[in-house]
Amino acid sequence: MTRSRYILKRLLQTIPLIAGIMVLVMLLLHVVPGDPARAIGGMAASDETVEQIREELGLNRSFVAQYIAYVGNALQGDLGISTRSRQPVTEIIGERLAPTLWLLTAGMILSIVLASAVSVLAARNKDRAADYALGGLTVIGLSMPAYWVGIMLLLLVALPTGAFPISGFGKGFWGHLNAIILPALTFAIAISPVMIRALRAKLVALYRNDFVMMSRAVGLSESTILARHLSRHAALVLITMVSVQVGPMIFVGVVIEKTFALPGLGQALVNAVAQRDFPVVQGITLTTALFVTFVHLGADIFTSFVNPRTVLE
Amino acid sequence: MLTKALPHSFRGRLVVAAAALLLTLPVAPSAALADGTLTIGRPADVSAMSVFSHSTIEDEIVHPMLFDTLVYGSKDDPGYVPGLAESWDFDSASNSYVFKLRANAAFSDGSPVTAADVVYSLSAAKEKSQNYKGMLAGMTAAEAVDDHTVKVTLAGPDNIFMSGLIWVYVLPENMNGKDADAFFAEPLASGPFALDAWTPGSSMSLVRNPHYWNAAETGLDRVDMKIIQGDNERLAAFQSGDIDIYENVRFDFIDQIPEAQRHIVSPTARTMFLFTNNYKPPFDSIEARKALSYAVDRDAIGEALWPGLSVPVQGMLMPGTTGAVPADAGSWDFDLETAEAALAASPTPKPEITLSAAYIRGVDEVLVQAVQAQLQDAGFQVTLNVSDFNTILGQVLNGEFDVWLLGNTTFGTTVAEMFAFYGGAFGPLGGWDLDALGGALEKYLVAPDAAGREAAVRDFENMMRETFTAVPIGHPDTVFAIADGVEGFETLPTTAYRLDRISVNR
Amino acid sequence: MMARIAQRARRGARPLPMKARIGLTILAAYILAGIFGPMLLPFDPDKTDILRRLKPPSNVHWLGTDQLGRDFLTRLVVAIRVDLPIAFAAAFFPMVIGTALGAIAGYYGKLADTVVSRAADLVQAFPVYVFLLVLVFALGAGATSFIVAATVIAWVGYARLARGEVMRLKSLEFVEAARVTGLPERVILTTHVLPNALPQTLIYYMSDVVLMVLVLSSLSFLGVGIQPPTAEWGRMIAEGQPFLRSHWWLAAAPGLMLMVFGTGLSLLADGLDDWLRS
Repeated sequence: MTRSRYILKRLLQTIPLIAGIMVLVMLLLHVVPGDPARAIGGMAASDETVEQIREELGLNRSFVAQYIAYVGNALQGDLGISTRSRQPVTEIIGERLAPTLWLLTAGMILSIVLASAVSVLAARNKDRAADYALGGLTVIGLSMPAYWVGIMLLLLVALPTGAFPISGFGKGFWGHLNAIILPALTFAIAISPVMIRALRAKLVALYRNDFVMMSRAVGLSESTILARHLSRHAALVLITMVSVQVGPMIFVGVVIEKTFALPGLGQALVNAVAQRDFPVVQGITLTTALFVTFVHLGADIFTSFVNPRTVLE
Repeated sequence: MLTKALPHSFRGRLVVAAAALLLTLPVAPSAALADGTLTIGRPADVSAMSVFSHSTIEDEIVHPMLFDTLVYGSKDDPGYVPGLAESWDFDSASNSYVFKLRANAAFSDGSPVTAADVVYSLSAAKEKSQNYKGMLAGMTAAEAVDDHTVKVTLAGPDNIFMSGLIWVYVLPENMNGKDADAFFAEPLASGPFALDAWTPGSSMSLVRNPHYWNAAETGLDRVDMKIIQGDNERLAAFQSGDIDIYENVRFDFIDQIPEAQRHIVSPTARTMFLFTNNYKPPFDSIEARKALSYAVDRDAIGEALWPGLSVPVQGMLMPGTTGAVPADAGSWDFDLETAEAALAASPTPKPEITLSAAYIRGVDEVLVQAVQAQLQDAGFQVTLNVSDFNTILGQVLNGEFDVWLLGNTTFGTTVAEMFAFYGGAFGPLGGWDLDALGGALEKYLVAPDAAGREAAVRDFENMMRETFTAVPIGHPDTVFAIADGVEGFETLPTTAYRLDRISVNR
Repeated sequence: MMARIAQRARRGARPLPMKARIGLTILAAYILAGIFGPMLLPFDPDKTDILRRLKPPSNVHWLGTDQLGRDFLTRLVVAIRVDLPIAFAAAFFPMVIGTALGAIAGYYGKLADTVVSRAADLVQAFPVYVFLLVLVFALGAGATSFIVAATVIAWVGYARLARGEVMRLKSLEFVEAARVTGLPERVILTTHVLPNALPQTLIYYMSDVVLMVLVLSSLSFLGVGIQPPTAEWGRMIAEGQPFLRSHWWLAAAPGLMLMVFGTGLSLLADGLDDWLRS
């Protein structure tokens, strides 16, 4: 199979997937025990209010009709209107996007840096004290809840130094940057352990390879070996890990936004949940699911360039 | 086989892509920096733009800014000062007031505010206002004498009418021919500000109304109000400089606000109480309400949760309002054994109840859980229903609640307003004894002197306390945090403040 | 087949690695503390005393009292009875369902495989824990909703694992041998194939429990999980956060309880994995 055919195939596969995602997002409203309109309005809502909600959400039509309407509107960028603020859902998402993108971008960069550094250090010192210590830390890192890590960073870093805001998104570019450091670090501590495990294993295997031995024999320095020979493999592992981990990353992002009171999509989601604002919950869920799908797609396409063998398989 | 290194050009592209991504991230506009603009972070939105619906303290901050009133509330006796009416005369023989309006008063579209508009507004308020119509009950006629003179005739002596005028909002005559929904969707302002943008439940912006009669003294060009429900999030917004005024600071957070930025309203004319639904079980039974009352350890709550920041429970009518006197019959003691005995004697000895609450006006997570635990100790099975204020209010208006824990703040400076409000709003919703309440109110209205009014208030308080009609807990203060450079911030004990008195000086 | 049994016997003789022993000790300590701790501690975990709120550690209250004056140590320990059983259950049901689906897909292939694999793809296209969050919200906060929602999303991992293992095992010699003896396919799958896939599944289950306890506590932290006044670590961290400046341990200690538990179970899973592979 050629690369372009592979990419085309992956693109086409995405279409039924997105259709399926939308079914699940629609189903959210229907798994509500009892009458969803009643659940949204609250037990106290009058019959007229409930009827109005039912009308608005199209609940009095068949599921198929609702689905077609939802997909049709979504394609035109209309994800409905918040039952609470009457604001279009897409507008809410637009307003809340910036802090979330900042957090994900900065967190991802920091995760990759941290994971690479620790993995190289561990793999070079395989079966020595440093490797065991880092391995132990990785296991502990896997077992810490992200929000708690964030709170501990506030306690141990932000409060004593006073250099970082306790919460909020700051003002202006530098304010945002300063405000995002601790959340991004929290993100990295939560996300990198899984990356470290995969990357260390790959590096250990590579170090055993003949070509590394050979390079050492011809006198290349360790950093040259790393840069020349291992970076491509490492990049592949990292891309795969980002692709696999993107789902958990988004959840970690939601939790971190709550911890640091960042006014992002995650906070909007949690607020919408508290207010039983279904259109907003559905819209944000759909947005994150689409993001995940495109990251998967992007990672596969990227991999097909770096490692053409995947195309053949 | 030797593995190829990552091509150089490829690495370069990655860096460029990453940089591009970072640069394209939108940077939020820094709202509070612009001069003449004030940003407020508050826990709830107005309950409605309509001035006729049920009213909350948020309404009472926003509505007077959009819609002018004949008199403005004041700290000083008698509790009001000239507003749109620059002066008035009272003729005791005919029980009538003659108000002289400001000649330069105008709506935000430039058209003049005339006596006809005021006459219309008075009768509309008397007819439609859920909260305030009780205060206008004594008004028999309102007429325009000339373009800037209004004459109001009362049925008889009336101790409530003038302070009621603080809440009679001036709208254009017949709302310019629109129905209420259409008018309030795009309101024509007569106050210091006009509505610029409103996203219900999220944000509201007001801009200076240049045609307002006292526009020269309006200190701000623009007010942005952000609805930030979470206590943590509101604190965060203040600390990061996103908001200048942080409303409803949680008591446990006071230490995190620099002393110079704290603004404590003490006493606040507020009663924290358990509002029971006396129409349905379990609280249709006086025994169950008695159990509820005896289960609440008011002293412990005051001492532990509001240290030095509350007035011990005095009554349903708040300290800090003229004419508030405590009951002298019945009891609001805490006694677990009495509570358990009363519950055992009630028709539902093991009641499962829902405790509704919104984290606003002194209610927070700790208070709600403390009350929950105290009620559980007495034998109630308590499920929490915590939501935003307007959701809870909606449920209560539909009668779907067992007990609502709320901090109710008066909107007037005398007991009169709250007295009438209990009669008009809480009483009918909670299933109170409206005959007894109405009797006390009637007695208050016609009382010739302070002693007579006091006796009427005491009748009401005694009735509430003897029948455990509602269960007050205490009178906690209100804490604001005000950023440096905000000047002219001043509240009444009601916690309402006038935005047009504020200026920013950064 | 004889060789495999002999191999296992040899394995049985090998002592467990240090990792697994540490993990087992931690797990046992939590379970014992969960069972006996509340009996030994003299305090009612839900009994509030606001006049003694936010007290520092003392010889009466070893870890002080929380924001409602409840004994903090008691609540930390009682929470074991909440977090652990829910996490174990929330990983158990997906294990049963996922393994069954994966085994069927792997063993029978064709349509069964297509259906299961596509369903798994769909679930994995979601940010799964965000999906779990909104699912719990739709179903109504609480332990039951959490377990149901966890089952909806977490079966996928088990299914993929079982499918792979079963596909590998079904072509092995001893399975072919069983087939020759004329045993029905269903019997071969349940008696020959699945038992051999089980150890890997159990190891995966342990790491899944670690994830579930973290997710459960996260949901409670966000206010969608276990509701007050029930003692639960994530909720305790959320309620302790406002007091970070003065009473840091209120937010720190529940996180440590989570971290040590997770570390213990991960070490056990890692150790067992090493032990089985060696």
